[in-house]
Amino acid sequence: MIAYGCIGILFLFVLIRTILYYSHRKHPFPKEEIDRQVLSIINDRRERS
Amino acid sequence: MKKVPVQIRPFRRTRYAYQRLRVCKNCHNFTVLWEKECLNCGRSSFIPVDTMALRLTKRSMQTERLIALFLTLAGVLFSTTFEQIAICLGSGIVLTLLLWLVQRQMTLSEAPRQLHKWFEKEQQRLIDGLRLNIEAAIGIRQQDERLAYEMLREIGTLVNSDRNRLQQISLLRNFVLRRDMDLQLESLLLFDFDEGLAEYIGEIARIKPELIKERTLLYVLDHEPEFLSMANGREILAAIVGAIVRMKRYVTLYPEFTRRYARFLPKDRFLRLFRIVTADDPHLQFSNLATEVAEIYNAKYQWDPDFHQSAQSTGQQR
Repeated sequence: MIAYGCIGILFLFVLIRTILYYSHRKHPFPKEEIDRQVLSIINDRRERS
Repeated sequence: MKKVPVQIRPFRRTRYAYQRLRVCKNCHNFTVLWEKECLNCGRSSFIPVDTMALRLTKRSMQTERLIALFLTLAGVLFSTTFEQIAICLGSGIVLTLLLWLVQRQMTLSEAPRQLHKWFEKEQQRLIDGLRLNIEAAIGIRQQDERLAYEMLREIGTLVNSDRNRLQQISLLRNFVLRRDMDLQLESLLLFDFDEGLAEYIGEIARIKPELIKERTLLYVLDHEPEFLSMANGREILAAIVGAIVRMKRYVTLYPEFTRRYARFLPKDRFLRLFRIVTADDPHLQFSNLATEVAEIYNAKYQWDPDFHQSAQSTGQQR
């Protein structure tokens, strides 16, 4: 039974990852957000330190 | 002060500022400059951050496949019959292959998300890397001013600091500026007034007027009294007006500013202004600027044949 349990977990794992991948592709992460993040790290944190 | 003729390398433009960053594969030190060897570990293994994002994505996907294989192996180990072993092995391999096929299609769309997470983790390294870049640029200033300027210009794409801008301006003032140079203006604008910047704006207005845009004009308007307090402030402002008359939009937006320095424009620039003002634009035709232009025309260019064609339409009525 444990063997089938492992395969069941694997099935769920692959299913969840596949759904997540397709959902990420549908709503791609904006590169503008990375730009904002990098500029804020450099300029906000650098000024504080 | 004697100016030095230099050849400034063209500015490399990227769609996003972060794409200018490179990272050392070995020590994860960041750089915005173009050096081959890492200033931190000495190895020459810099890659662009976008390439790093793909590597991180592939690594994370590889970990997921390893988890899938591990679950398959666990299923096989816990199997009690040969039939169970066959089922676990078969379904495990099929599911892992399925995961791999999906991952192959998703690498590019996953990369920005991975990069975002990675920058979140590497904040301190990013700051330290840029600090090393700034130190390198300041260190080289005595030996090679041109290289120091190029380095500061590159750093300035990410570092928003007036100190960096002031250093760039002071270096630019040591160079003989030419029209064919890849010069910048809006990225050098400061919040406060600076004489060096004012001189630089004046020089740009003369050699590359297309760089005088909205933000520069707002800076000039904000600090007009300070410009006028300079020995050659009026010439600088006249040069700026000479630059903005190339576009009717600026004349329409800032007619009072244009009016104040119209009298000091050279003939070709005044002719351009004259044509804009005498065109069929109700905003300008009955403005103070139109009156001033008509006065200057009557005083200086009434008999000039270049103005003759335009003058027939409106010049005589004033």
